[in-house]
Formats: sequence, C-alpha cells, structure tokens
Amino acid sequence: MEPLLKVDDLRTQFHTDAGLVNVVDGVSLELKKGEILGVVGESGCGKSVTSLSVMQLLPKDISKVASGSITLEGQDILAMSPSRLRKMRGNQISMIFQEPMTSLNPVFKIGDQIMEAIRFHMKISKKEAKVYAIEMLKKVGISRPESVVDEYPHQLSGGMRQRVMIAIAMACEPKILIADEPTTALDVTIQAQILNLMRQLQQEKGTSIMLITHDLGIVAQMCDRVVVMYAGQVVEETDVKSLFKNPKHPYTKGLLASLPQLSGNQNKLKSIPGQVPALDEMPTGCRFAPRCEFRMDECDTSKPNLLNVAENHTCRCYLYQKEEIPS
Amino acid sequence: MAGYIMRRLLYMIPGFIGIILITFVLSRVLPGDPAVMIAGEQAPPDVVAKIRVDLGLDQPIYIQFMDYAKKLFQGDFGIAWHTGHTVLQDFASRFPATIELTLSSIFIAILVAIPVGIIAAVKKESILDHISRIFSLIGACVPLFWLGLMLIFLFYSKWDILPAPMGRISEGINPPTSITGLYLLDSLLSGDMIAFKDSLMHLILPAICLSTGTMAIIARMMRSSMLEVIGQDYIRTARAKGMRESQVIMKHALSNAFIPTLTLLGLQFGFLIGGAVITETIFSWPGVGGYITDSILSTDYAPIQAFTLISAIVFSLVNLIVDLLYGVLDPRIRYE
Ligand SMILES: Nc1ncnc2c1ncn2[C@@H]1O[C@H](COP(=O)(O)OP(=O)(O)OP(=O)(O)O)[C@@H](O)[C@H]1O
Ligand SMILES: [Mg+2]
Repeated sequence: MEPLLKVDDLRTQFHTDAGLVNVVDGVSLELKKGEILGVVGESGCGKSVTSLSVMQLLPKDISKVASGSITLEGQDILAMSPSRLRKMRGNQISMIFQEPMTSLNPVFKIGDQIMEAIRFHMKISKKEAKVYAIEMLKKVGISRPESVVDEYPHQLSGGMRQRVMIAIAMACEPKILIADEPTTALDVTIQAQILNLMRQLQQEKGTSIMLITHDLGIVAQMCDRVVVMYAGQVVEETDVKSLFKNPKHPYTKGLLASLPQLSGNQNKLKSIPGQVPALDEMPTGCRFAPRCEFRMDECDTSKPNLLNVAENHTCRCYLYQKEEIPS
Repeated sequence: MAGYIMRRLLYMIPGFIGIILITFVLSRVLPGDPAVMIAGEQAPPDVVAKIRVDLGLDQPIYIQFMDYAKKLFQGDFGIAWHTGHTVLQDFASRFPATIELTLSSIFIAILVAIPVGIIAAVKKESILDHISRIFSLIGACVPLFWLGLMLIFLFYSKWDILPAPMGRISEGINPPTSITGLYLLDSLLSGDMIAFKDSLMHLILPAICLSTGTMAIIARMMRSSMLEVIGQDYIRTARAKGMRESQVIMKHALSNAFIPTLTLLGLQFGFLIGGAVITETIFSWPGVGGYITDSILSTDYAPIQAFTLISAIVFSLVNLIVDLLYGVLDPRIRYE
C-alpha cells in the first residue's frame, strides 16, 4: 500500500557558525494510514528539523532541504507552491509543538485562534466556526469551553494550552498529525491525559500520527512502529514489539538499557558513554562508532548502510551485514 | 481601572510640584533682569526700581514663590512681559499651531517608521534593511536645526516647490473658519480646499523636520521587536495552521511587536516637545515653541515656567494614555 507520507533520503542543511552542515542527513521514513509512528533519538539528532522539513516550516534564512523527497499521498511537498502548502498545513498535515506555554499567540483569544484555522480551511461563517471551536474544545476535554473561547492563553495552564493546540491541529481533521514532543514540557499526570487524548482522537478519525519523543516509555505505550535517529540519520526502524524485544543497533540497545525498570535493579541503570558528535565534526565512518562498545575496524573507515536485518526491520550497523535479507 | 487612573494622576502631583519649584528657582538664578528688559536698556534707575516693585521682584524669593504658586492655583500663569498679554491668552492663540505640527510629525513618523521597520525585519540583511539602517542612523543623528535649514534651502530656495518658511498659511489666503484650530482639519471640515492645500504646503517641511528623529528611532524599535516576535513559537503555530504570510506578519506578529513600540512613542513625546521649540523657530511657525524661544531671549519668566509645567503635564498624560492603551493591546496586563 502506498504510504500516506514518504520521506526519502532527506538532507536538510543549516548555516551555522561552523559553516553549512547537514543537520538531517539521508533520513527516510514512511507513515502509513492510521498508524502511530514513533521517532526517537537524543536531543539534537534532527527530529524537529525532519518534521519541520515535512511542514516546510524551516527557518528560511538559515536552512533548506538540500536533497531528497517528501511526498504526501504521492504528491511532492517540496515542489508545492506556497498557496498549495498553505492548504496542506493545518488541513492535511497538522503539527503540535513541544512548548505549549509559548505556542499560542498571547494577544488573541483562544476561540479566535481556533476559528482562524477552521475558517481558513473550511470556509465557514464566523458563527458556525465559533460553534465548531467550542465543540473542538469540548472534544479535547476542556471543561466550560463556552467561556474558554473568550479567554486568553495566559489564563490557561500548560496542559490546557496543549489541549487547545490539539484542538487547533485536529479541527480540520487532518490525515496526519505531527506531534513534536507534545508532552515533554508537561508534568506526568497531564502527560498521560494528553497522550490518551491523542490516541482517542487517532482512533476516532483514523489520523496517522508521527510522534516525536525521546521517551521510550511513551513509544511503548503509544506507537505501532518506531524510527530511531542518531546524529541526523535513521539507525534503526521496526515495529514496536521487535524494537523492545529484539533491538539491533547498539545505540538502540543503549537507549533501552538506560530505561529504568520497575522489576530490575536500579543500580544497573546505564547510560551511553560519550556524546553526540558535533555537526561539523561527524566521524567519517559510522557516526555512533566513537561511543559504540561493539566497534570494529571498518566502523571507523566507511559508512554503514541501512540494511534489512529481519522482516520489517532495518538497521544501520556492520554487525548485521551478514544477516541482511533481501527486501 | 478608574482607581488605577486616579492613583496615577495622584502620583503625578509631587512631580509637578517639583517642576514648579525647579523652573521657578532656575529662572530666578539665570542672568538677566526682567525689569531692565521691560524698561529698556537706557531707562533711568528709578523707573527700573519702580517696575521691580510693581512686579514684586524686590521681595525675598520665597515670598515671590508663594505669590507665584498661589496664582498658579487659581489658574493664573501670569503676564508675558514681552507681549503684554496674559500667558494663557498667548498660549491659547498659539497652541493649535503647535498641536497641528506635533500631531502631523507623529503621524508622518508612524506612517513611515512602522512599515519600514516591518520590512527591515522581514527582509533582514537585505538591501532594503541596509538602506533603512543607514537612513535611521542619519535621521537619529542629524541636528534638527541643520536638517530644517537644509530642507528650506532645497525645497524653497533651490527648487522653489514649497512656500517660504513663514507661518502656517500664505498671506493672501484666509485661514479656515476655526473649529479645532488645526488648519488642515478645519479647512477639510469647511470644505475650503484652497486653504487646505496652502496650509498643507506650509506644514510639510516643519512636520518632516520634526518627525525624523522619532521616525528613525521608531523604525529601529519596530524592526528589533518585530525580529524578536517573528522568532516566537506562536508565529510558527500561525504558519502551521496554514495562514498566509501577510497575515502571519500583519496580524500575528505586528499585534505583539507594536506593544513595545507604543511605549517608545509615548516617551518620544518629550523629545517632540523640545524639538517643536527649535523647529518652530526655524520655520517661523506661530506656535508655542517660537514664543518660548522669544520668552527665553527676553528673560520672560512666566511663559517659560508655564510652558515647562504644561509640557510636563501633557507628557505625563500622554504616557498615562499609552499605558492604558497597553492594557487594550496586551490582555496579560490588568489594571487594578
Ligand atoms: N534554528 C536553528 N538554528 C541553528 N541550528 C539549528 C536550528 N534548529 C536546529 N538546529 C540544529 O539542528 C540540530 C537538530 O535539531 P533538532 O531541533 O531537530 O533536534 P531534536 O532532535 O528535535 O532535539 P530535541 O529533542 O532537543 O528537540 C541541532 O543540533 C541544531 O544544531
Ligand atoms: Mg525537537
């Protein structure tokens, strides 16, 4: 089946003090209809930049998609005109962000901020839009939505604001929701509520979700499939069960080992030694090699490719070269 | 809200009392003897002495102050010796000209500076941004009197496109029927297009001259606050909703970026009052500014003191209004 969203060999560059660097370097991923795809990886590995590339919302003056393709139902997003892109944003693909406290405009009423998207995409009257906005607020679990529409962002808590963001994002029933660490800034009980809400909406509408997080617990709880990113590249991709039962890439293994386990001995909590290499000092070989406990000679000299190591399971590591199965 | 305004008004009073004191003392310690000015350089000493007694200048300074303060309370700003009218009369006949000049400069400054600031921010580091930066720098640095003289030289002497810098309207033309005292507005209201065109021609140069400093500063402020706002998360949200770039900038960004600019505008008012004194003198503009220059030159205390006090009151009220507008623009601000 043709995937809903297909990112192929995406390379996104940023102008930095150290010159032009590939922040996202050859990322490929697919989002199928109705699934929740987790994207995990350490801070700075390019998760947000990947999603902003999809939305074409990169900061224009300092970054650009240098090569690769992004297609939405076969349509090339990179070739879309500005007006076509606007019709896509908020309507076919919506996005919610990591920072609920600052993602809403402080000087406009909540209702107006929801209605703006609704009216732009659905071309309905102000009155209808307001009724619809209240309905959306109710749907995302906001009590007394009739008064909240007339309130300003500063009158709401972080959790409430993220609910409002979800209401805005889901208002036009997009096919895809990109949620960039939607709960990182919220406390744990609110996190669970927001995640449940997203899942409930996803099940009702069949929305596909790209859920970006660095919390493997959230992945286990929410996702169907997972893409693991490291230093701007995908290093492993598989379904969520295989990832937890049978992780392949040493980086993934490291991430899993650093998860606190209820039954396990707390002392065994491990972290991956070393640090993510700086963008302008990427190793010539495997990017994870300097931190890898299974490092071999070839890891330092040549770049491993993303290989099919099992059915629906790819991994970028020389350890599995012999296990490669034809796709 | 009403309580807030009352409190703000009350807080102004000590400041005003301070200003009354300082201007009074300053004008007494400055060199120059008003009695001599009134009587004339050649007047015999006994005439000068008599004038001094008439004016109460022979009294100790604290008595003079009490006298002055008491009259002030009754709304009596004294008499301008150099015109022979009461200060209030003089002000009443000249204030409309000053108000027309200041309002037009603010209008011009905003009209130019806001779009320039927005464009400079949106097209950061482009040629437009650089040009606006250079002009702002010049606008902020150039001395008012030099700019005024250059404008007169170019537009009147050299190219002869604008009338002589003499007053608000040409001699052969009747001023419009007075409604607000502002010629432009009055001539429009009474449909007198001849007066409108002529007074506009007279107003253009002094208004531009007075506006440049404010214009430059507001353009820079607008650019920097716009740049800051454009980088905010909610701007990304607006784009992610599919909003048009023009709406993102003009609605989402501007409504936030204008707030700090407004504060600056209020503070600039002080600069405008000072600038008006110079501009009016250069352009022989029959407003309060030119009158104050004359008063200073003829050691005429009463108008100077009145002008300082009234300026302070206007400045404080403008900034109170700015603060109230702040609350309208930014829902996070509540007055209680
Ligand atoms: N606006 C920007 N200016 C300069 N560099 C940027 C910018 N945004 C991202 N980058 C660079 O791109 C890299 C990847 O950033 P990105 O935001 O995609 O990371 P992330 O995986 O989303 O991390 P996090 O978990 O912290 O959100 C960063 O290391 C940073 O150097
Ligand atoms: Mg991020």
